[in-house]
Amino acid sequence: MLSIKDLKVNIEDKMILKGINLDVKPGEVHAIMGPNGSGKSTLGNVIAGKEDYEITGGSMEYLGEDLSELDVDERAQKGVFLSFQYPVEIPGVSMSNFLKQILNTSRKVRGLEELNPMETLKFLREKVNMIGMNEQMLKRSLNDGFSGGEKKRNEILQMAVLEPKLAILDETDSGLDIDALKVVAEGVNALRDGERSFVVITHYQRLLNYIVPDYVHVLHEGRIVKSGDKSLALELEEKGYDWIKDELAATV
Amino acid sequence: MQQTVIDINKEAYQRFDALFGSFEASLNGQKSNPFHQIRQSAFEKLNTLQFPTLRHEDWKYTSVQRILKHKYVLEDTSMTISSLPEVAKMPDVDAIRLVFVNGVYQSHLSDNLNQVEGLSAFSVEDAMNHEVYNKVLSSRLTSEVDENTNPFFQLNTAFSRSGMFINVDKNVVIEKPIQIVHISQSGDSPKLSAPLFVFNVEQSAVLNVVESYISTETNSENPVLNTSHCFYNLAKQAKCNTYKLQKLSDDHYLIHDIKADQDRDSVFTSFTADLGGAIIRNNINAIHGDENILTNLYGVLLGLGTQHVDNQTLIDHAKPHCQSNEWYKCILDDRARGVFNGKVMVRQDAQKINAFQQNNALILSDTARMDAKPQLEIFADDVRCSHGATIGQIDEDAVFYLRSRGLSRRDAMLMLQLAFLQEVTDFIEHNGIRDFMVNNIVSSFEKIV
Ligand SMILES: Nc1ncnc2c1ncn2[C@@H]1O[C@H](COP(=O)(O)OP(=O)(O)OP(=O)(O)O)[C@@H](O)[C@H]1O
Ligand SMILES: [Mg+2]
Repeated sequence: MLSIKDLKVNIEDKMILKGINLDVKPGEVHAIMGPNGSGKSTLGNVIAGKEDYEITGGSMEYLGEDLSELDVDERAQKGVFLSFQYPVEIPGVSMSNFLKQILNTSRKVRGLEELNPMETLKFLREKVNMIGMNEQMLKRSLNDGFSGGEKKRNEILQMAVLEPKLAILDETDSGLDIDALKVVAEGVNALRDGERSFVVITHYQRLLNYIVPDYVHVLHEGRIVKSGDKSLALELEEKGYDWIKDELAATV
Repeated sequence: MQQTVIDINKEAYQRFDALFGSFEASLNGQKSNPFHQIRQSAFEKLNTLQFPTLRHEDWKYTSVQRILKHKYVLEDTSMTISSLPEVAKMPDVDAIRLVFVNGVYQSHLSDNLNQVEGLSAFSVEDAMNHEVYNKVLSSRLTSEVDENTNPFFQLNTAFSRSGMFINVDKNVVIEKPIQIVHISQSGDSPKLSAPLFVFNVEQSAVLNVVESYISTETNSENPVLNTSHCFYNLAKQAKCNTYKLQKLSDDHYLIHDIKADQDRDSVFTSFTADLGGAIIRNNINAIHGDENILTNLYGVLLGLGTQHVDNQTLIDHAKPHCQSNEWYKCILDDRARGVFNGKVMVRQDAQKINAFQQNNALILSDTARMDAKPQLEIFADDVRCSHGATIGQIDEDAVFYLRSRGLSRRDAMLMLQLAFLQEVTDFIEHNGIRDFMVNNIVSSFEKIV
């Protein structure tokens, strides 16, 4: 599904990603953990197609296509979804309009018929209820004045609406209370069908109790320095990152 | 040798002088109507005022020489069009309609206002001879000609034909909006269209007016200059909403003047959507004659190409306990220019008033330009006045966010721009009229590539 090889990325001449290798197969869940500033969001943004980054080396292939050739909207239309760590507030754009438009755009590119207004509303209501959001939220402006947790739920709502092939969740669990965490995890698990893949960026092992990863990677200073199965997350929770840094120092 | 601005203005005046002569000659018997004296004094006033140059404080950002270089004539009074253009129609609004082409009334496309309970409509000439309405009309027009310093108001009055006086009886709520459609149509020579409307809204009466300025063909050789004056007289507790859609093609001009005289407890709301035209100038002036008056002035503007749109507002707070709200939002692309000059006058007696003014502009290109000038003159001490002007760009982070959900760059931009303007269109109370305005904005956006 997604194959990243030796990816190097600069922001304003500073090297942030220093050779990332990541291979995500259909149906897999990969967790990415790592200290603040290690480059996790950068990786997510580069996969999604943010333009402020300069790719200085390596490659990213998605479903057999060179990702760097595609614009952000083309990537989204081909099934890439990023749940943002910090979703943007957009006053004036109503949630319902926005959701209707992204739903019907995505249906169109998938060769499905547009839903009529009644069907659209029904579909959106279902998703809103599934995410445990209040339907009143549909009347509000996109993320405008939303609490931290509401913003994260809204990201998952959009994921549920778009039904992507590859979803990257950047700290979607941060700022969520335990009920919201379960809802988010259920949202993700409902979409797990053996084909869809997930890259879950998180600082906390607790999310991984609900969304059980196939692989856990540790990103440190722009490199994946350790990979393992879900037990690695438990180990990190217990011991922090220092032991990995020590291990690294020993091997150099 | 290059012609100076003064030369252009002088020559323009001479051309209008000749036109006025032939216009008078064509009037025959109508010259004895008292309204003709008002026309004559307006034309004399025009001579003393002169056409403005950029040195003129009120015209600092808007040059009218491009307008004045043409040799305008009045449209043939027999000119007709067979059907109403699509753009003029308001699909979900049951309106009473009046249609004019280049200032010529189209009776076969118009409704009879007098059939509506509580409405009476007269030509300005007939109203001047009316035993009840002559007073309000003639005193209004006479003092306006005396005081109005906008030369185009005087030009409009001097050349006004098919002017109308519309009265709403006391306590009557006119449910159906009156829609006045002004169609500009290029022909074999440049045309001057000079509509004049006087609305007299009696005590506790309610009226909605929609003005549409649209064009069917475009021809830069032969543009149409619309000068226009609407006067609203609001008695105690009267309420009047006026909505203007201006969607002229690139070659036509509009200089539009609104004056509202408000009595105690009255509410006057104006909404303007400027979506086209070569040079557009809107003057709105609201005067508070007593206490507890509300004035709302809203506007949206989408400027493309080389369009130039200038909004001038003046709210004269002369009495205490009144309120005014002004909110104009502008989007300018290409080489378009927008101007907003909002004057708020708070006179010494006008204690406890509340005046809010806001102008926000989005600039989409390096060559577009916005000049915003809030102007508050406050002579009372216990008042709440606020004003703000912002000029910004589209938020690229928001564009990225929307695109990351699969919307094309264009769709994302349109969504954000529409949202920007919708904050103001949301103030339109009438659902059908709001949809009509928003749909027109959306179709104008579709011209942006
Ligand atoms: N636009 C930018 N300009 C300059 N530096 C940036 C920019 N964006 C990110 N960086 C830097 O890149 C590095 C990696 O940032 P990134 O956001 O990817 O970290 P992260 O692993 O997601 O951290 P966190 O756990 O705090 O979310 C940081 O040092 C950050 O300061
Ligand atoms: Mg991050």
